[in-house]
Amino acid sequence: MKLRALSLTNVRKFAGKTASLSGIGDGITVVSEANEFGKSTFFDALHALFFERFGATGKPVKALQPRSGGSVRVAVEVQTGAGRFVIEKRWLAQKGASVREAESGRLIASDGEAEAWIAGLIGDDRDGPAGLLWVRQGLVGLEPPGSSAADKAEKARLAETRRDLLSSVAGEIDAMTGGQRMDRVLRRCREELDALTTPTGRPSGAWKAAQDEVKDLGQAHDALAAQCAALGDALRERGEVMGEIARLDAPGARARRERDLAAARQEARLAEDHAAKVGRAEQALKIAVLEHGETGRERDALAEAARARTEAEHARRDAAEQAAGTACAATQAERERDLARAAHEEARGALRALQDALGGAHRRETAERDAARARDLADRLKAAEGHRAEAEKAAALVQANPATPARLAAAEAADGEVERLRAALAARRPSLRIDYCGDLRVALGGRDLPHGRDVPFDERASLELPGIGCLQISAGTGRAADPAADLDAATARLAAALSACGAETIETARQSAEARTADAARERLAAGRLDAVAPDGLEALRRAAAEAARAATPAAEPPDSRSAAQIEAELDAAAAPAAAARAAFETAERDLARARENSAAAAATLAAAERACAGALTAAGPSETMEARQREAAERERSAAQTRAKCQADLDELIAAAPDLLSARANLTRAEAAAKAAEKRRNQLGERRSALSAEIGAQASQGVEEQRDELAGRLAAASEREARLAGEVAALTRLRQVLDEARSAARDAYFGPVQEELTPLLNILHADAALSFDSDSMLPRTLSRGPEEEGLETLSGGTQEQIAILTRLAFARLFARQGRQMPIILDDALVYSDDSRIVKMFTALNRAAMDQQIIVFSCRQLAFESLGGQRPDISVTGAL
Amino acid sequence: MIRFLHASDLHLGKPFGGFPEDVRARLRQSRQEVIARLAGAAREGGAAHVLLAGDTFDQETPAPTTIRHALNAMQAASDLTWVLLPGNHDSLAASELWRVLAADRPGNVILATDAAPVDLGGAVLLPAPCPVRHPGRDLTEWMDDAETGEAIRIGLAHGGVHDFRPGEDAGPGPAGVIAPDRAERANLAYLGLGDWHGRLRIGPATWYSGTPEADSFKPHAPAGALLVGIAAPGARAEIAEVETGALRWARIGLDLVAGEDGVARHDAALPPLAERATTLADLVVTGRAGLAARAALMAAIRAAAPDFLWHRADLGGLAVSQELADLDQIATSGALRRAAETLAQEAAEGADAAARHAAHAALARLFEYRMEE
Repeated sequence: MKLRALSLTNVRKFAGKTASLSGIGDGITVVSEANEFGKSTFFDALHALFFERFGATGKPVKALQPRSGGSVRVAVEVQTGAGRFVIEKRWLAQKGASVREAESGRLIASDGEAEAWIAGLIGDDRDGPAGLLWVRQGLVGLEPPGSSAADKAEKARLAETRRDLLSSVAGEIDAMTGGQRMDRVLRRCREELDALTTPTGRPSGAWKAAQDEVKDLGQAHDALAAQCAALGDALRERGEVMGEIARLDAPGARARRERDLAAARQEARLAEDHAAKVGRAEQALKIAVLEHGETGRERDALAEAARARTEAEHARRDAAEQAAGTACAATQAERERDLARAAHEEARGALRALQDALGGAHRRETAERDAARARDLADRLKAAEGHRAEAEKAAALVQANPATPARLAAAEAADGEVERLRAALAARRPSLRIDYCGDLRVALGGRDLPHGRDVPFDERASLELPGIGCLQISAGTGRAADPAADLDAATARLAAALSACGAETIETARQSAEARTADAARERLAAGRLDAVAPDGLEALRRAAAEAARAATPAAEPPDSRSAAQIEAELDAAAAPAAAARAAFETAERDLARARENSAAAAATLAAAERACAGALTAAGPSETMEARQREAAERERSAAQTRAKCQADLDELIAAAPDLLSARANLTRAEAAAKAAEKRRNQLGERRSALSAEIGAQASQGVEEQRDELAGRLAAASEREARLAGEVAALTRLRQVLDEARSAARDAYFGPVQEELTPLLNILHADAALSFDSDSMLPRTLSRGPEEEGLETLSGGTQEQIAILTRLAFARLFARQGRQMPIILDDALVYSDDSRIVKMFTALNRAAMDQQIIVFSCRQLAFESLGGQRPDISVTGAL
Repeated sequence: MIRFLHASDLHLGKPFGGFPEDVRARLRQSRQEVIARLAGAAREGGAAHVLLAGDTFDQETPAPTTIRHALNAMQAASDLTWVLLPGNHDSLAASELWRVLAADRPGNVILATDAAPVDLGGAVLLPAPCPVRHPGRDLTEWMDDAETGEAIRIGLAHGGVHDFRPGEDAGPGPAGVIAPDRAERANLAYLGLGDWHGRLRIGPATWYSGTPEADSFKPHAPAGALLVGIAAPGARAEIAEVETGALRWARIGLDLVAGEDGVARHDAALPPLAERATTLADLVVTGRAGLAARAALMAAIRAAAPDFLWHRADLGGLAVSQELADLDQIATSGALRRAAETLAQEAAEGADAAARHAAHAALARLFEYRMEE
């Protein structure tokens, strides 16, 4: 199909007008007009003619309607292998579609049939392959860029279209790639795989759950296995413990231990007994040695006793003689002492009498002194009592008299003030003076006024003038001060002061004050006298007087006319003879004592000699048997020597035959320790058995082995499930891989024709450039320039735009190759291309245009001048 | 004349953790209830004793409720005497278990924890309790010299037999150590053995009773016990098999050849509908099948699976046969066909088993996708 002419009636800016485009050639046709000419209106109207049904009211159709409304009409003349036809559609009002022969105007189809005719012309479905060949303004990609549902639907539609196109080009393309069957199989495979793995192939879903279950069960099983192992260990240990207890408690073992212990004890006892025998033998030897020594000493003692007896007898005789002599001397000394004592006693009696008399004299004199003192003190006390009474009396007077010096001073001051005020008042007081010259007298207040003397009066004075009348004299009023008031006040103060002094007048006050002063002096005097008489106080004086009175009790001494001095003189005279008598007596006493000592010593010596003699006689025994006894003693000594020798021999023999006592004791210690250890071990084992039983009971009550075995089974089942899922994933992964590989291989062949058409066009732009296609979208995915491969989305907008157009050119050539010539329509394309690239694109377009109709709408008149091609005729006619 | 029921390997408390929770509960319950079924079988057979030859409990320290429920069930059957022998799972090393049992056992429960004669009234039981999980010696040896007078001698033991090593049931321990001719050597009228979960005759008087309630897909005889009657000393034991299992464990093997109708084979191999609700099915498909046949078989398996108490299908051993018709159903040409051919080639000639398996699964999945349309 090729377009030859296009007319738009009542479309957008051509409201009420018809715009026509004619003279469209086979190759490139360029509609290059300024902006706002309506190029896009032509493009959109042409697009609507082919892709919008005449009954459509959607946005693409409404967008064609001018503001004034009305029916929108688009007609296009196309040339196909069957001839030239005019396709016309009307939308929104007078809706309809028709296909007519261009030359004859014969109606070929209308409305629905016309739509079907159009669909057959552009493809199997309404959005068929021709849709690939429209490039709107600014389009840089081959697919809608958005991700909305509409965009996704459009992408799917275009992909299907490309597939359809390539399928047609490649023949059995569906069979090669699997087509929709392949898609469904792959979708099922991916769905199942996605349910089990993540996009990166890691486990998820049921597979992950199975792995987690295996892991969890494994951990739980390991924990229980450890618990079971511990339980098993405890059981084994308890078995061992019970076995050991049984061994320890076994009658044979117990009897063996007891036998061992008894044997050790027996051995030790024998050894101890033998040791005791040795001890006893040693003891016997010691006794024999002692007895031997004793018999020797007995023999010697006999000889010594015989000698001692003789010596004692001689000593006794000498002592008897000495005792007799000393006894006579003592008797003589005693007689002499008795005489001296009598003289001494006599002298001492005389002295004592004198001393007694002297004492009595002294006591009498002392009693006299005490009586005198008592009297003196009584006198002083009496005087003191008087002074005290006097002082107290005076003090009472002083106390009773209020006229203290201060009060008197105050009264004196007040009296002075009164006197001063009186004087002042008197000085200011009016007075009368009359100097009589006759007998008549003037009376004032009933008394005659004296002659020639001032008689004061107070406020008023009434003078009786005999024969005349009564003369009233007034001192007048209005004086500045009132001395009488001050005087009254002072008089009141004086009265108060006098009252304080207990007086009525100042004189009596002075007298009271003087009396008070005198009383005070008297009090001081009495107090001073009291202090003099009783310096320690009256109470002390009273006690002293009472004590002296008691001490002055008269002594009951015999009367003696001698004074103490006389008696002392007599005593002095008697002292010398008394001292001589005493000295003689003392000498006699000493002599007697010495004589007695000598006598006693001699008697003691005699007694000792007699005792020694008696002892010696006793010790020596009867002298007549002495020799016999000495012979017997010698015999006993020999016998003791023999006994000693025998004991020594016995001891030596026992020592030689003695068992090893230490070893026996050690063996017994060992046996006892072993028995004790066995008992202790038995107790420990019993305790351990109890502890293990408690532990085992606790564990066994939980049925841990059942739990473990159950978990082991569950773990095995989970592992099997996990392995099955892993196998399933492996199978699905392999299936997806094989399917992808098979489809990729098919698509390599599938994209061959496209590459064949695209490569020459691409090389106009980039030498050695190549495009790879995505197997899903069937669109260029990467651009290779030399060794580098770049994703299409990373290229510049200009390059993307150029590749998009070249790809459309390639697809269009495929259409053409299958006999379905479809025009390529570009609306303001190549807006992103620079000058050098746009020239190359023009070259590519011209190359494609050699067997492909290309219609270019552009406002870039200057830039597209070099594109070449034809310029169609454009006209706009008036209203309908 | 003495009659008793010989059973073993009750494995009470076995958790069956590999199953879903509801199935797990059902499996545990059926094991717990097996005691009552044994009691019923004993009464029905006129037996007065039930001899449990070890592994009555699955663990050394079962949950207290497991022990209590078991003892309660035995006490409920008070007309019977229950003899419990320690096995390898519940050996005497499980001292806590046996302590609790000794403390809580009712009067009609005998714990055969000593290798010493037990008077059963008319017969003497010679037990060989396992002292530990793997004793490593023939615990029945003492029976040869055990003095029992003229009484009927019955042996009870747990473990393997010398010349008996049946592959997957051998367990981790050493080779069987119980002398297979122990009954003859020890003059036993009967030797009841435990440990082997399937019923098995070792000799005329030596039997494994098997477990009374199945617990695996191993191809054993139906779960049950042995009813034993001995008329007199020296008399031959009369042995009757008794089924006591409540649930059926069915491993269904399908070995397909290319071109075979796998669906028909599958449907024919399944148990009757009435049994499926109490059946755990483990379907193992091997051999070779085309993609279409495999897909059809998968559909049939998916359709049948809900019939069962539990169902599992393992098609890992089913290889994909290269059938052009299958690939044509995916695509006759083009990328899909190329992908299918690639996967088919990998499934047949992949570098390793994992790659072949993945390719196989991927091809089957591709086929399923295409068949969905």
